[in-house]
Amino acid sequence: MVFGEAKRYYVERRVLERMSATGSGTFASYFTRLRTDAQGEIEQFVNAFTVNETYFYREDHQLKCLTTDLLTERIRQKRKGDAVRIWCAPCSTGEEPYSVAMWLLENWPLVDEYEIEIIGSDIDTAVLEIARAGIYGKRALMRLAPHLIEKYFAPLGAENWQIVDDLRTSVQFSAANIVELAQTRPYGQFDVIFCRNVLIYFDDASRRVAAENLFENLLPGGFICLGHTESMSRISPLFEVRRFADAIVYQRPAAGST
Amino acid sequence: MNEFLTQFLIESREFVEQATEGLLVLEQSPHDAERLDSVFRAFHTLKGGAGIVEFAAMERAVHAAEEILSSARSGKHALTPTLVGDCLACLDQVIRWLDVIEQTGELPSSPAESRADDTWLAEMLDSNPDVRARVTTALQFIPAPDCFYQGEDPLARVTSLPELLALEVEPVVAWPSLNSLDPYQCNLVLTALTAASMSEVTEHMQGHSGTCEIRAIGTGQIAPQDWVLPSQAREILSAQRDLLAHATPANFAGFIASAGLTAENVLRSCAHPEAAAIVAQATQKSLAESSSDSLRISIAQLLSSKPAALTENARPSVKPEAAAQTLRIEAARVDALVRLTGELTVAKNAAGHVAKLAQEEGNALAGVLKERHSVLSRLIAELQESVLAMRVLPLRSVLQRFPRVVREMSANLGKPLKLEIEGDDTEADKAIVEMLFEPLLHIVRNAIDHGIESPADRAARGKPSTARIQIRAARQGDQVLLEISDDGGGIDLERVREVAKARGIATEEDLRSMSETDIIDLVFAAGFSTAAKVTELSGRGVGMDAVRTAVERIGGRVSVESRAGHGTNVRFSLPFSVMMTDVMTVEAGGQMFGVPLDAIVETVSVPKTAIKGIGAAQAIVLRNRTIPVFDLASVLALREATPNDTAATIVITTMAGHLGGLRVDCIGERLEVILKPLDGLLTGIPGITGTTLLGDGRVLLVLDIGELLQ
Amino acid sequence: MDPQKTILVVDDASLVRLYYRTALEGAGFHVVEAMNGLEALEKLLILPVHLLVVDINMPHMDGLTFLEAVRRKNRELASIPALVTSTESAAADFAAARAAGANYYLVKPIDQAKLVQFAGMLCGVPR
Repeated sequence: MVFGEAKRYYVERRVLERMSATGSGTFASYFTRLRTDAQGEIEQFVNAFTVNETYFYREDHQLKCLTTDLLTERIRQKRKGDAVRIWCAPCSTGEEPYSVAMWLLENWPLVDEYEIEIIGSDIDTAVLEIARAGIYGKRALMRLAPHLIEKYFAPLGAENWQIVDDLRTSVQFSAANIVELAQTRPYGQFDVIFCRNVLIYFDDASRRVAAENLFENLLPGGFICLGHTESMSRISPLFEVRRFADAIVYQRPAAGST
Repeated sequence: MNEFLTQFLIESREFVEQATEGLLVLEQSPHDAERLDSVFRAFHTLKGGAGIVEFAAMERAVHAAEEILSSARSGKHALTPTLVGDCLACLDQVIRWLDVIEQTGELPSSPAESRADDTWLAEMLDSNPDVRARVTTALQFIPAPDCFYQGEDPLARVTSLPELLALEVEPVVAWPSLNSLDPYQCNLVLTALTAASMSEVTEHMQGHSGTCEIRAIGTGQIAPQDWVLPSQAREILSAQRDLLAHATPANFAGFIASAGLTAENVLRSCAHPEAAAIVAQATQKSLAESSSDSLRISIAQLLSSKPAALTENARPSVKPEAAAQTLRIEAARVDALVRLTGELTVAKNAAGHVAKLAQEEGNALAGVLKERHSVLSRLIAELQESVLAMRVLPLRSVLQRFPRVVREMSANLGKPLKLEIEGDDTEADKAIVEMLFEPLLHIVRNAIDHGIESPADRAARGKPSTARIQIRAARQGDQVLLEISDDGGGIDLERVREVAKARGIATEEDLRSMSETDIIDLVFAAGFSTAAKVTELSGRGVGMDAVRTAVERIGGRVSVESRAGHGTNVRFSLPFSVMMTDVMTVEAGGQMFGVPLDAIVETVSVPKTAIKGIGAAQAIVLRNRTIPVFDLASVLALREATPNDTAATIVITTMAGHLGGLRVDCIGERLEVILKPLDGLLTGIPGITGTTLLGDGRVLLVLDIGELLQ
Repeated sequence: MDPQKTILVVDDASLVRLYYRTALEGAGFHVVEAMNGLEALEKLLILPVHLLVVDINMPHMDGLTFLEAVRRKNRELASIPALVTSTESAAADFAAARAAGANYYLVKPIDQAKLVQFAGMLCGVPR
């Protein structure tokens, strides 16, 4: 991750947070901690810097595109009972992959016709734990209609809700750094990858590496969705742009096409 | 309207036709056993249909007629003309009911009647709780008031019902005082509950006079009237039957138990608790006997009950040979096809314009384009012919109503008549056949009312006492010829002259210079009617001019020929097929024109300032497109300059993909018209595609936008 | 008032179980779940079930094996109506399901409204 001068305040705040959390009086002592990775501080440090602004049904126009256009195309070549694989990388605290699962249940009548596999991956192990637990507060649920909350969540205390078991077990969470090919390759190939609002934090070189890795993780004809302000065209020439009614997505060219 | 009712309507109308035809023949030859049989069967089927849709009133009415025919069949009573009339009256009522159903989509029922249908049953069952469980059939019998004179003993009849459980006897109207009571009039309502089957009770009550309502109740039997199974339920039941057929010794009990429970559940969920109970019993029996037979038979019975069979196997009741040759299609579908073919024609014409343009521009492909276009033209013309042929009906469908009409008029006026129909299998377009009834009716009425003399007069003139009316139809080329002739006295020319003078239609001078043919033609003049008094039947002053207008609207012609003392001939010459076009009327330069609707993209009203001049031409900008605007009145040379209004109404039209705007004075309404192509001297006029007659008799010129804007 | 009916949904895909569950619970049924035939047999011993909704392809014990086992049990369990769900639609598949004791067969994907309708009829719940 590369932060320019413009993000100085952001970086300073995070460092100060970690210093306070580890009881480091001076930056020098904190820096030593970091260098020696005392008590897994590197991981904590990295976690503090990854952006965790997320909620259910965020950018739902992409979800709409998923059921209206993307999956419709993907199943053309599939037989009943075949797998449909979706990857949310990164997945942060899990709102995104759970949203995908919920959206499919609510809006895709073919949900029982295929083997749907949803995987959520992130570099931040702490958020993966939160995702697996599936407990969320009001803010995360703010865009969900009450009937959806009732259907898919069970209240936990006064302020929290937990995703119902069936929905929780339908998403697998695991750690992965999308810049590391060795970590992404084992996941195999997907029909749709959601990679939203993370590439903006990388420098050009890292962006390109990540894009190429994710390209490997797409089935021919598979789609990748970025954040709505991001553009793959400036990052890598490997993908084709596809404009749909609800979203612009990028596609790995299908087999046999130039 | 639900499927049952739609089917019921179609079939009932057919059977009414069949019965009417048969009855009219029977009137002349009452001993035609075969005909009697077929009429009886028609009534019987009508009654059955009424039962299926639960139309009790019709069931009763038709039953009464069926009784008459039944006793005629068995030789008990002869079929007198009066009785035939009664049967016909019954059919009239049925037709009235069918019309109501068609309009409202529901069965007609007076609230009192439907309440009465159910209350007696409920009350009877409630007041006899001790036998309630054993009741399988209930009956309410109201004997005819004069049944005693027929030698009937209604009380004995009912008390001898098999397995009678309860009986109540009440008066129809409250018993009057003994002084005013007529003991020879039957005033009884007999209500009974029995444990016998419905067929047993029905048979027992056979031949009674009066009305009898029999209802099946209770667990012993599944009441046919109440039996409706949704198709999904039928599928599930049928699957259970399959399952039972595949039971093996190892899983026997499980298969039977689950199949039985499933069938029971399905019936319960469809609100048939009695049937569910029967199935439960059958399941127990099967398990006890280690044989799937009981349950299988029980399910099979449920699946084969008559009304349910109607859902499964509903077929239009066309005679077997005819079924192979005809298809029943909704008229709307054929109309849609006709419309589409019309649009195809327009598109073909547009393509023709392009071909012409290409030629003019010396385009290399012009020749090929022209050739392809002519192939297309030919094919589309053939398509149009076939499609229009689909809308064709035999004239029989309108002519078959006339024997009845003639019979009635003959009776009412006391003039014996014979109607001969020839060529009723001649075909013509549906639109024509449908509009023919009124004009024909008027002419036939005229003939009977005015043309045919009273029996006395005919005798005095040595004419046969039974007057003869002939309706003859034949096809000649692309015309259908229809002739109505009578052997009456012909048209009274003097009378015509008088009336014409009296009504100001022609002056004495005019009349003197007119030939006989011209004078006869005066009957078509507006406002002409020679009826001395306005009878119920004809001569309302609407007359022959309405006939002529109606016929000319569809592009036909009508003429009258008369031979004094011998009779009158009215001749129709009608086109075999017609095309309906949608047009929008517009006014320009004080005149009204029609614009084909498929050429119109939209209509807009723009302020005068929006019309820009581009050189000598004008245009408007609409949604970023520049559209040339032409003043229709100027184009048609109806006026020189465009008026200076503040706003302009513009009709945006499309021709071969190009948009053009027509400025008009105002926009009228949308009409569906029968377009008469230009013929004779008018064919050369550009910009007009055809003419049509409006309802008020005016001629509307329909524009050819493409030609106009070139 | 009819007592609430219990439906046992047997499918190895949790999303599918959830999909059917929300439809059936929305229609007033009580739903219990099992991931395969073995778990389903266990569930049957715990509480009374009025309808089985069974997928065919499951690990450990597939739907048809489960159904055969059920139909051989005591009267009460053996008589439970069973609705088989599967992506397969060949005649041989229907026949196999029937031979195992299925009372009805629906081909996936199953519209939620249709599932509720058939479940209702198979359980005896008024339409």
